[in-house]
Amino acid sequence: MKILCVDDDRLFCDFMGETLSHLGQSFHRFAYSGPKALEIIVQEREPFDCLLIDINMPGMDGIELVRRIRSLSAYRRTPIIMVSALQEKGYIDSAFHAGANDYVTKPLDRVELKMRLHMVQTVLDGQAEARGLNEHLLASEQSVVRELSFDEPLNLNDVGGLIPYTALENYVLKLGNMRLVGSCAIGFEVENAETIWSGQHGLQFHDAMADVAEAIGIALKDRSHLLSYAGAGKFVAVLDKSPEIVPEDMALVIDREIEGFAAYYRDAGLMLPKVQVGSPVKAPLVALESPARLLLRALLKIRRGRVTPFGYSRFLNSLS
Amino acid sequence: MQSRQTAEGQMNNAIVRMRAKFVESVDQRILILEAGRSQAALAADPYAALQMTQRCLHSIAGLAPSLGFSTLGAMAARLDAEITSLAERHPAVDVIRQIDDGVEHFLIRLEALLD
Repeated sequence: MKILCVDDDRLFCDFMGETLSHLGQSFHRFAYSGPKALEIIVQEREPFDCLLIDINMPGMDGIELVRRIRSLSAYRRTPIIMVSALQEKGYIDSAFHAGANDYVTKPLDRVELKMRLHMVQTVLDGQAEARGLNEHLLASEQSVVRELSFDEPLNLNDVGGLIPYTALENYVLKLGNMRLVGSCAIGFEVENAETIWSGQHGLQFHDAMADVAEAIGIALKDRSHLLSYAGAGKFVAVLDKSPEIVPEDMALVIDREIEGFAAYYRDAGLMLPKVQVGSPVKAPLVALESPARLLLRALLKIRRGRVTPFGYSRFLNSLS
Repeated sequence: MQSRQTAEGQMNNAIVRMRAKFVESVDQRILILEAGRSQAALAADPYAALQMTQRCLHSIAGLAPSLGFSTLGAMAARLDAEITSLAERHPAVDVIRQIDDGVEHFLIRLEALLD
């Protein structure tokens, strides 16, 4: 794995270098500032496989650096791990919002880093497999999305504000139950996802899910949140402490946004997605279970306590 | 088994080398912390002085415990957090005044590494 480590503390970089070598990762480079990291990234012919970035650096901080790196097409999906002594929720939130996939706190724990790098390797293997399928797609004109399973969380990275499901899991795990108190998770389900999946070209399914993601993003735009696609037409969002959420209102906004695409879907002979919104699930005050259970409970809630959305058109009809 | 022991041994040797490097860097870190205090005393640019002090403490908090200087790391982390908390409510010049005893205590601890 080719790794770039960015930290203004040279001694820490030396230590990180020794640790990476010990973990069998000997192909690494260092940058001691954000601008230098960008310079190295642009110059490097073969992109880095993984980036380890400190937050607290003079000039351009690590969060701004992540934002800039994510704007480079070659680095949209590259795993980025923040390595920082900052443990406040605000920094963790900002890092994941900017596009980080994971967050490791200093002092560096070798076992933890090894585990995180193992996860990165798994992600890279998955990406390599998808690339292979893509080549197959070009040859056979079959959709790569179709080759993947329906349940698999597609990478909808092109949609702003959407983060990979693994990153959302890492986010809640990093915060832990204590710091999640007051936050809540909401599940969203494309009720006709399976029909869309089986009846349409794989890329059209991908585009439909991207449209849904955008609509959900608009419904959540006034609240600090992280949203992810969980697979099988399901989305989950983690929201910060915020005013009372009314799922019916949210369903209305999503429906209205999706109705905005109706003409395009009709012309293309495609099925318009129908979205269900689950009731919000609050992080419990006392919890012995893994924080990641919050996401699962939000997804389960769509099935159990399903909120019947007003179809926007139905809503308009009821007014007339 | 043997190769794992060798790898552990190599890592331990690396940590010993890094500890020595850290101790070598202590002089520089003391100078930074002292400069922060004197700049603040002159009221030249208290905000810059506070930033410099906090950055130095933050760096020590992140590195020292990994090298076995856990008490030092914990002290630096405590001061770092204290600065963050005080800076939300007080101007930089007051923050520096309020943490001065803590920084002094920390400097003594840091200087002890040089003995």
